[in-house]
Amino acid sequence: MASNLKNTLNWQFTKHFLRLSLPLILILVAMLWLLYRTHLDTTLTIMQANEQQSIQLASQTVDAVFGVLHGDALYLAENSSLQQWLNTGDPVIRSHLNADFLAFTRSRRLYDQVRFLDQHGQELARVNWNDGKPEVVAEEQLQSKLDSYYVRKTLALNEQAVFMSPFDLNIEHDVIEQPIKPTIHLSTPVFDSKGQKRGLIVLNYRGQRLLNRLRAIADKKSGGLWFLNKEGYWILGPHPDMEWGFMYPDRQTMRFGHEYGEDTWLSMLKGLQINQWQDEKGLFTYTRITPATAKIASTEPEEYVGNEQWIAVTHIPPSSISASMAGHVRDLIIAFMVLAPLLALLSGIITYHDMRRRQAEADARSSEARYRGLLELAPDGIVITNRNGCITMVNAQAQKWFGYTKDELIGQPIEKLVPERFRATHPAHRQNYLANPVVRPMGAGLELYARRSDGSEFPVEISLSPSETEQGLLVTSIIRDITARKQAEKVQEQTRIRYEKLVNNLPVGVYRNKPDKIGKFLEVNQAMVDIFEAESTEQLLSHPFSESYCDPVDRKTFIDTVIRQGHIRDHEVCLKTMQGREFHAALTAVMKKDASGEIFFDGIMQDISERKETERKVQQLNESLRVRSMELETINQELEAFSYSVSHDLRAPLRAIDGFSRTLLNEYADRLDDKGRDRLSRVRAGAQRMASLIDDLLKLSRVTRTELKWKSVDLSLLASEVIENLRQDEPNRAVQFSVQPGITVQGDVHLLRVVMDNLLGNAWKFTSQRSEARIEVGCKLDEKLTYYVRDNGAGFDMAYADKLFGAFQRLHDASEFSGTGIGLATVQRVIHKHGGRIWAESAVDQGAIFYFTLNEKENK
Amino acid sequence: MNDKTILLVEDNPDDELLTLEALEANRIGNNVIVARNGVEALDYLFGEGAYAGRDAMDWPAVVLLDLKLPKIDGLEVLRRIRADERTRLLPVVILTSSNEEEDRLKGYTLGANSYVRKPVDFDQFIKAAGQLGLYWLLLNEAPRG
Repeated sequence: MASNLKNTLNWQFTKHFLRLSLPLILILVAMLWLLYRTHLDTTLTIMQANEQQSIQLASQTVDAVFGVLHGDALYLAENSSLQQWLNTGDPVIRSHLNADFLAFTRSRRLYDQVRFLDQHGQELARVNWNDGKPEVVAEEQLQSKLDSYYVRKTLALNEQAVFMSPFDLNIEHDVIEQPIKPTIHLSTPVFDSKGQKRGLIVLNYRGQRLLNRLRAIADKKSGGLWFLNKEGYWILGPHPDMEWGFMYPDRQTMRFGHEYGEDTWLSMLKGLQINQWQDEKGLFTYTRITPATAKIASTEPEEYVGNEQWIAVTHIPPSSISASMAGHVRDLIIAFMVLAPLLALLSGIITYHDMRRRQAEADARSSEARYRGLLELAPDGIVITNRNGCITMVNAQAQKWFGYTKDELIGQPIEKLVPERFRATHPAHRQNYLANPVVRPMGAGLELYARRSDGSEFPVEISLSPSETEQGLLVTSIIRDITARKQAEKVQEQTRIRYEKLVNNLPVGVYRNKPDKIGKFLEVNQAMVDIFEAESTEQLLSHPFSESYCDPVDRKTFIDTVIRQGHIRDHEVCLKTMQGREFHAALTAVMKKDASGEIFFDGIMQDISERKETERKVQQLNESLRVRSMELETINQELEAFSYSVSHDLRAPLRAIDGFSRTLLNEYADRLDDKGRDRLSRVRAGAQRMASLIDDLLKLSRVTRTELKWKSVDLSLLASEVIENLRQDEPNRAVQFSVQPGITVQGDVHLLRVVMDNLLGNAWKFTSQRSEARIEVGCKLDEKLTYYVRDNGAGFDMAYADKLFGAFQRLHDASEFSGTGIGLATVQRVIHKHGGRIWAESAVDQGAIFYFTLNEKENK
Repeated sequence: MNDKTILLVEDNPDDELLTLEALEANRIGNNVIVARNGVEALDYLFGEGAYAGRDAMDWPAVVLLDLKLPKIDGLEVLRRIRADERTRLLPVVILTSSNEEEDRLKGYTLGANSYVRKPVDFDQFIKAAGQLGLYWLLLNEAPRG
């Protein structure tokens, strides 16, 4: 992954680098190219100008030379010595003439020969240059030149006309003189003072001088300066072997047209007199020089005879042009070699920083995105405003709370979110804030309200933080809806008030104090004020609790215990009221720490003086009760023993009485009369009755003694069993018995059996004289759940109802219904033991209903 | 059946006579040995004291045991009978005036085979004695130790 990232970065760098460096290098190349071109053009222009100047110079040089030559020829034709000689023929004059010619030749240094020929072509005066030592040729060595073409042509000329021969090499005795001697023959006719044509002056001009001067011009420049005759042969050429082609049979092809094209040559010969062009062969500049028409620096018209024409050409070959550019090209290449890497380096640096910047921007963007995301997700409302109080950003929570969409808020003044009643003053607040923008934390004690889109208000806390950004000063408002908190505070306040009321109205003292040396109360309720018999709460609060202890040691014990255990419960101490009255107090306290870690006690105090007194009495009562209880226990044990004895010992004699009476009745019947038998039977009945009494008394006492074993008892089932036993004992009786099924009670099954035995036994017994006996067991819900046993038997007189449950109380004659009178007393005792009541309703011969309840206390 | 003895443990002579008469009335002619207190009853059963040398293997068919006895009371006698391996399975019927539930429970807990209250009505006593005889002497073969 990391390497991928690195590759990506490398590639990005390369891409950005190339994108920057390539155009820069291309621009560099273009600039260098332009520079090259400009330089080339300039060089060429300079070259062209130079060439033109050279040609001009050459042309002027030629013109100047021929001007001089022309003047010289005419000057000599009018030489005074010559004219004088022609007029006189005096030989002295002739010597003067020779001297003039010699001086002329010596001083002029231009001519190889200076001659005068007569009208027949005979040389009459001649001076030879003789390589710098001019000499007059002797008369005998003078020759006739009548055959020479220039003699003929010149003699045909008018006065002031000059004939000029072609530029060629001097030939002596039909051979080209060596070293070559380029020569131009200039000749003009000579007239005497009478106007008679008398001969001609011939000047052999030493062409080499002209050629040297031309060559000197050419030497200053890179290319060559050539001089061509009208046939295109080089008089002055690129190489001596190529010159004077027309003079040498083997050099006939060495013509300009042959070398550089006949068309070019023709255009030079026939075209513009002066021109310049450049082609693949180089830069050419030429001018045509025609001595006959050349204007020398003279106002006089000059007349040349002959059709000589020359062309001065300069040529710079491409190689020379290139050579002159080579250095520049090298400089440009060096410049490129230096600048290109510099540019590349520059591009690299720029790209690097650019990428750094891009990265930073990307980071900033992502950080901004994160920042915005955070803002959006913030649980608080966030609104950012600019210096003018216009909203520039609002997050989702703020939109939700204020009930606006983002579009409805962006660009709007913040006052849109301020309740109308504060709007007028809000801009001033803003200005104040902007004058001194500081971070204002949330909840800086201000109660602020915000306005929703529907106009409703809600309480808020706002924190402000200014930040200087590219968009100027922005103020970020973080807004928190504190409706819930306000609500909670309100509820808390209500709770506090309720708690305070509650505490103040509590019948026990509630306090808070510090377990320090003095022990002043921090808080007390009204009950504390009452307990301490203080005049007011304030009085009690200023009272040191430490002085309220009857025994200061008690206080120390109390404080030590609370600090050790953290709490104490119902700690009893003796305290003094502010009036000095001693009382007993029970203290319950817990240790707490306040914010600064200081310990204090929250406690409850009860004045237990009364309770103490009561406790003392109860203790006394308990003591006497314990004594009584022990006495009772003893009595009970005695009673137990007594009952046991009764059970055993009283019955044994009865058994003897009954048993032996029976023996007598059975075995001695014949010896007894009726009366005796009757009395014995009565003895037996008495014994048996007494046995019944004993049994019933025992049962009664047993009920008293027995401890209840509480269980769930099915009373319906119990009743059915009792009836079944009764039926077995007296199977001949027809009794209609009905029992409500499912009567379940809580009680002792044995004792409840005794109840049912007695009640049903009574019902059985007292319905014995009914032909259609009915016994019914059921329950009903009056105030309490009431059970009943109903019969349609003999009933009783309600006047005696109060005696019904007394022991040994009988409401019927023994002769009518047997019974001991103890059964209902026993029943009542069982019912009472079960926490119930029993009563009866009846009327004589109307049957009886016995009602009873059980566990009245629990069933309530 | 007549060769089997019945051990009657009874301190009251009247009750002794009445019991004997009741047995006689039911034609139960078995030899009845009467022990007049708990010690005597145990001596008889285990051939000790006054009964030393008695064939201790001649167990009575049934022991009719009163509870309220001098010296050692009936419940203690029963406990000792049941504690001895030889008499562990001897039929013992408690025959008493007491109708106390506690006595009855203790009796059964200590291993009494039956519990008969001596009724005051002698006719009923005869009836009860008859049932006793039928059951313990005729129907129920005393298990041999």
